[in-house]
Amino acid sequence: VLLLVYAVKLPAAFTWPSLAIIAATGLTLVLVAAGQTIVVMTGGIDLSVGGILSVATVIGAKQFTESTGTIVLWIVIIVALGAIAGSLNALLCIKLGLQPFIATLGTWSLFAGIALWIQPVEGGVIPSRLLGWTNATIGPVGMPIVGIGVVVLVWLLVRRSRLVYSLRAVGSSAQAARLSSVNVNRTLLIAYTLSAALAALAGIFLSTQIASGSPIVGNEFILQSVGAVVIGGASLRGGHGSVAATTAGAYVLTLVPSVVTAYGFSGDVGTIVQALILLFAVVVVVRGPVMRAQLKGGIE
Amino acid sequence: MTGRQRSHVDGVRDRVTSPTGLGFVAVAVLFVIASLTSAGFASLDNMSTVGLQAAFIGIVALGQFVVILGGGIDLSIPAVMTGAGIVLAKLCAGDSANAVWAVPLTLVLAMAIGALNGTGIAMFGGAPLVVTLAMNTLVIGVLISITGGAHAPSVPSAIVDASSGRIAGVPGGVIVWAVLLVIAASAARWTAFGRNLYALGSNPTVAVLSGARPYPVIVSTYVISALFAGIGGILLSGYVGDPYVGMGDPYLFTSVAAVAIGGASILGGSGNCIGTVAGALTLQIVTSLLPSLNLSPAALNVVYGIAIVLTVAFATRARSRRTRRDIPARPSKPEPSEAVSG
Repeated sequence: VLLLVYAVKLPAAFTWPSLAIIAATGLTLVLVAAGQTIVVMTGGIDLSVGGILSVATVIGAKQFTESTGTIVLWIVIIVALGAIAGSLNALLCIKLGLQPFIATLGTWSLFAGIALWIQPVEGGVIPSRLLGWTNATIGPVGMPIVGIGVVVLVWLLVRRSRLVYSLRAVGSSAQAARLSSVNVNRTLLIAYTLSAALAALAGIFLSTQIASGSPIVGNEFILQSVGAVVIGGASLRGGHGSVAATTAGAYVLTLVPSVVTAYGFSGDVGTIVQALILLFAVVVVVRGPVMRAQLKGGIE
Repeated sequence: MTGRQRSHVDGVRDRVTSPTGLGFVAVAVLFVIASLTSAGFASLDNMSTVGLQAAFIGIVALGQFVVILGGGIDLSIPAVMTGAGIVLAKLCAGDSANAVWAVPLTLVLAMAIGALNGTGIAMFGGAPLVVTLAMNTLVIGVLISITGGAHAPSVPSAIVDASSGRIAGVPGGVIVWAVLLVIAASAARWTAFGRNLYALGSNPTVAVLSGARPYPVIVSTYVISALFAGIGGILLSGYVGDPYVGMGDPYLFTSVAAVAIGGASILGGSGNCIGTVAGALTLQIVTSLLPSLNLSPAALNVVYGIAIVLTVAFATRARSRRTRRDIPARPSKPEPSEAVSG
């Protein structure tokens, strides 16, 4: 599946030489989709990321000033608020026994409302100091590329950890996980909290991209983040998933419109191609594990 | 085996009483609040407007319900609604006489989209969420290509009359809604299709072993949903006059929310199509209520969110109390805190 993804990705990278711009365009989606991957691994889904993303951009646009201290303080506050929002999602799922789809559908509406309440229209100013940070370079490498590097690196470091095994275990079978002394509720709490905190972080980054806050900007990222996870090869039934593969998936979705327009088609053709790739990916994702199992002698 | 059978019996009793009942209690409470806080809310004229707007939600929620009952979800409803409105407006070119063949043709196109959804899901095993989502994006992309993003021409007056015209004070859209409800309710109860659907939604393996044929049933659910979305889209375009891309977008959220508020399990296998009526009315009364209370769209979002979570939480508790013994994975530990939080 990954190979396929890169085959799609490579020609795109050649047509667009400035990698930093590509990286910057996709980083928001990468962050959201990374969080989404964690939740999907547990067999859940987080639709509230869109609301959280919007809230993060409008708070940022309202509160950031040119002083470094204020910026850092509010980044911490925004991410913390995101984490709280995520734990609310988790509590709804755990304590009230709601299905994740419904619980986060409700909180998405709730958070989107809060974003509209804070700031009903697009606007606000993102200080140039913060813009400077995200556009800075370390040597020849731009910050967004570093950001993606960090996401993938952190994933590679933790993917064999206890937590990730717990996430997968809960996603495969909550009951089996509980019987093998995995703390299911705690794992779910961590998953939703991480997802929401990453969405908040993505919101901050996005606000530097659009240089303002928008109460509705997050909504498009809900379905795209799920799409990125699926193209990355995860099953929405849970138990599988890789943040690195999701990152690749996120870039497929980000690049398709640019590539299609680069070949002289209009924007809506890009949308259509995006949808076709998504459909294709779903089919491959389903067939992939079956074929792999056959290669391994049908043990799986 | 006996456990599953008992669960089915419980399920029937369950449908007759609690979660759906809760939905209607919510409607009644909201209606009283609305009548008290906003003068003229209970007037016949206003009621029929609210009823008509609720009908759009109710009709597409009915389709969504059928899909959810079978264990899927249909996120392509907004695109099908929008598409039905735009295609119909283009086909008719403003002439009511053309509606005679344009309406059936539009609905057949809608059902074709549903058939594609169902095939992708049932035959190729795609996740319903992703397949229908991609289909939504795909159809909207095509629609933007067709219209260039502009408003489509107005639908002919016949469609406007069918939607908003009133017979004895009742708007046409509401009558269509009622007819579809009766058909759906009868089909769910008395046809093999309805029973197979409940069976497949609650436990596919058992259903297949007992002789249900999954593919036709699952594909049919998506065709039905697309058909209802098409009908809803045509009526909606009659209400707004000239259909536009984005017309159907709010119904992604409201169709799922109405089903959930109506007491159906989003995992399939349980629920009652009458519940979607409670869901649609709840959502529409809340929406209609807000302007008179001087509340902004922001508040609407917040209220929607809280309403969904609370209603579903109550419905889930009512259901799990009845059938707890039949659902092994249901966590039983948090019970005391449930009581506290309730």
